[in-house]
Amino acid sequence: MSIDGICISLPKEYLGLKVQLMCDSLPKLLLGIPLTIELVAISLSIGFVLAMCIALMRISGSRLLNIVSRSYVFYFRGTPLLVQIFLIYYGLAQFDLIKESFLWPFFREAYWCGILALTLNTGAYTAEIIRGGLQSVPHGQIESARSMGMSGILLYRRVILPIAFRQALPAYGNEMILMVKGTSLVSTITLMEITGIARHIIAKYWTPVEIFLIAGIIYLFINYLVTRIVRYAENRYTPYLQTNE
Amino acid sequence: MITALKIKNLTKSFGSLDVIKGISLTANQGDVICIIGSSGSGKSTLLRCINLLETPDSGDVWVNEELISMTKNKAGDPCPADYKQVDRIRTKLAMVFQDFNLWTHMTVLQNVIESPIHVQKISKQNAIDRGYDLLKKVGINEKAEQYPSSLSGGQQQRVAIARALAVNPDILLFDEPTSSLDPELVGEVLRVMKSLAKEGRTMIVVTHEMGFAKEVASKVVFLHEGLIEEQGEAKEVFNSPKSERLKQFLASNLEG
Ligand SMILES: Nc1ncnc2c1ncn2[C@@H]1O[C@H](COP(=O)(O)OP(=O)(O)OP(=O)(O)O)[C@@H](O)[C@H]1O
Ligand SMILES: [Mg+2]
Repeated sequence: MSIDGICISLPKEYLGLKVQLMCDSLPKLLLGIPLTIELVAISLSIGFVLAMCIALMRISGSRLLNIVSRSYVFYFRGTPLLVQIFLIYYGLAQFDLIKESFLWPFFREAYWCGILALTLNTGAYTAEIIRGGLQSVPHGQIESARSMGMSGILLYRRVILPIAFRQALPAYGNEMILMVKGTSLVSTITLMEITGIARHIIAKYWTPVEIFLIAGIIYLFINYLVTRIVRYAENRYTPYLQTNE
Repeated sequence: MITALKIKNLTKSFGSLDVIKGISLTANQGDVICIIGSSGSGKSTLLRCINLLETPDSGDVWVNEELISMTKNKAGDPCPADYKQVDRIRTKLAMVFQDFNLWTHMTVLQNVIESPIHVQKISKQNAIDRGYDLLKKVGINEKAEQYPSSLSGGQQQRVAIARALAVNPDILLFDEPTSSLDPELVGEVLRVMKSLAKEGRTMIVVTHEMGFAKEVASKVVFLHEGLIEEQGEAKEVFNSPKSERLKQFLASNLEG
């Protein structure tokens, strides 16, 4: 109601942009935020667990596990997310094996196909980020832990992983931002997140610049929050790496 | 009195490079053994074989007269027979490294209480109390809540010494503890080490600080190409070296 009031009081056009339409569309686009955040949150969470498994497979010393994890990372880093989404959404339905299995109720739905694609994609990148973090743990700090009687799981839990995660924090923040943007691609398989809604409005009024401008600002705002969260985590967990206050 | 440390016929090679070629050494309780020798003579490797950071090819190590039992893995390479024993013995043999190797993600105090709490299962409060005492002893108690990266090298090394002492070890291993330090910071670390020697701690010290060795060593061992070339009381070794190599080594190391 109040926003309607504001919209009517605005000029109809400004700099050739249909301002009133933009104002009217804002609440509709905002309705897409929950789904966008849901897609990001779910795929980042599952993707992180997946990435941990992949990273462990990489360092397990088993040849087979190593090849499996390498191929997975190679494929999902090397192909566009959009292609992955299409292959999962259109491709899975081609296999009778999947159509007859208990998984079909899931993969029949664009929502779960989108989640699966985003998860597999971020899993691959995050696995590499974790691997990089593990490799960057200074050897001397591992040795001093060993020399103090730490080994196995304790050594990983108390020294190696905490250092690796801290080193990986900036890169992971980057990955979170990429994921927020990546969710816009699932609009191509009918999901009505921010970009999905934007495309819907555009199809009706043919005002791409106006609507995408607003959508872009919403993404910018979400990513601003993500940046703040990552920054907070960096200050909290790696105060010794922060030079500027 | 039980023997703190005994090494017998230890050998170690890296590929085709024989680094330790059969070394035997005994340290009684309260001994301060300084190991000297030129770069590449195998000093670090010898020290690291004692706490199994390197696995010896052959030979035996006893700590407090307990033999570290070794076996062979599937590939036929030597490896510890009982990794639990290794972890346990390592807390009896705390090591101080040239580059400190403090854990950067923990504060000074957390560094010191880490192993007592998580390896030795001492209660947190006990560990903290002891931690502060040890930090006071090395003169860093005011920095307890800071991260190592905000400390000078000399301070970091003193924290590393406190961390080593925190597990209540029977033997302290030092690998060139002052070699990474600016000259003006060497003294503060040596002072702490001297006070430990005075307390009667058993110490094995790889060092280039001949003054320190002269002053506190109960025994000086000169290593050359993986073998003990000469050993004896500090006075003997420094004042009347017998081997030609030791004479040369001292000539080039004492002038500085
Ligand atoms: N992990 C390793 N792999 C291969 N070679 C090694 C390894 N560690 C040591 N070496 C070699 O073994 C020899 C002895 O090394 P060591 O570090 O024990 O010497 P050092 O007496 O401590 O010398 P420095 O005074 O320079 O510290 C050197 O030639 C070194 O290059
Ligand atoms: Mg050395």
